[in-house]
Amino acid sequence: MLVLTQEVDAQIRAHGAATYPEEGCGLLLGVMANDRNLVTAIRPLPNVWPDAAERRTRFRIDPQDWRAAELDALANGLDVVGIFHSHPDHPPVASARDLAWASWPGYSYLITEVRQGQPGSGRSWQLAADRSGFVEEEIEIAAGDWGVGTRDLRLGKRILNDQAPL
Amino acid sequence: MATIRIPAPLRPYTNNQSSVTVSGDSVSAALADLNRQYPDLQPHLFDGEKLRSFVNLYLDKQDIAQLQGLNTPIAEGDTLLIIPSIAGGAPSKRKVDQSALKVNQAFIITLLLLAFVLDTAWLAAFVAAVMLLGTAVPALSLFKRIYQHLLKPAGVVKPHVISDNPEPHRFAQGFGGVVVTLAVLLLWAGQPFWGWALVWLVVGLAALNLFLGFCAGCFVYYQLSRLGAPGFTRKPIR
Repeated sequence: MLVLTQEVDAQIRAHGAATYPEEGCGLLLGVMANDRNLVTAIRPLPNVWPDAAERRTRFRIDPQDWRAAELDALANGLDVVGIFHSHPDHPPVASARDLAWASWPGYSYLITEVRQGQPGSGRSWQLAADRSGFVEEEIEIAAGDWGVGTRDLRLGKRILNDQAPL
Repeated sequence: MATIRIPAPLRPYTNNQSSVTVSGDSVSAALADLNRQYPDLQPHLFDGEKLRSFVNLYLDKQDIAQLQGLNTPIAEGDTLLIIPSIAGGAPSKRKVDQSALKVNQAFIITLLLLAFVLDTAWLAAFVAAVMLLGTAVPALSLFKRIYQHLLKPAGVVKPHVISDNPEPHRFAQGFGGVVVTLAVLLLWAGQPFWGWALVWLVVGLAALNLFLGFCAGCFVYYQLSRLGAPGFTRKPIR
């Protein structure tokens, strides 16, 4: 399950709208615990797909950008728990292309549809354990505002632990 | 001793350790020690003996691929970061119905062979006209219309839609149409050998596409695209 704060949810939608008609992308930062990925912050990253004309349907994250984001997240006590990207004028369904370039099961792949520049619904996916395909996961938009930071993360961990016993 | 940072989704395989201390004076020795300590991690980083294609290793700010790869030396206190390459995107909206192309090729081959057997340049001229007209105005492509309005609705040929660019196929047909036109002109000019040789060339290339799936005209198109020839703007869909 993917758990987003309302603020993070709004930021991801806004990023999808801002990068329209190209695909926008970035990293979901937070904590992984008890089969839940709790996201308390995002790190928007440039879409570096080499052919600019194809960025309406393609994205790529520069590993060097990921490295910098991972270190910054670490300094704030956070981890990379997933990837978000937008599908301009296309349903938010993980594609064969997403599968071909996926990494490890456990990361959330949150896809937001952006239609005519307006952010629409989002769906989240995780790579199956045998890497054969993507399995949809539930998204929960948490009502509370946890903000960002180590103190809030501890709160997040506690919430996760309370919700599901190990 | 060096340290390897473990990405969050891989921590179930390292007893939830976010970093692991390893021995070894090279990246490969450090990874071998990591695998020895946590054998379940191995298939997530390696595909056989090689690192998985999406796995990048950073020593400080540098990708080891730009240093000495797995032979890169590491020193006491170094930290290795495991960073994935991620890409993806929406499915391409550019579609081609391969069945329409194959029906078109089958018609071209059959009619050109019939023209050769009957020794009638007029039939070859008809095929050339259909090919050139279909290239100039795809909606008027006769053989594809037969597929669209007769064979497909009747269920004789099932559609097979794939992500592909239509332009290279159109170019291939136009090129074939020009060659058949030349062949007809040679036949009418009293050069049956060269005329029928060109007809056979088109039959052969169409058969190569129909039976083996290799589109020679598309190959030429993409080569021209690679060289930046004006009008050849499409790149292969990956």
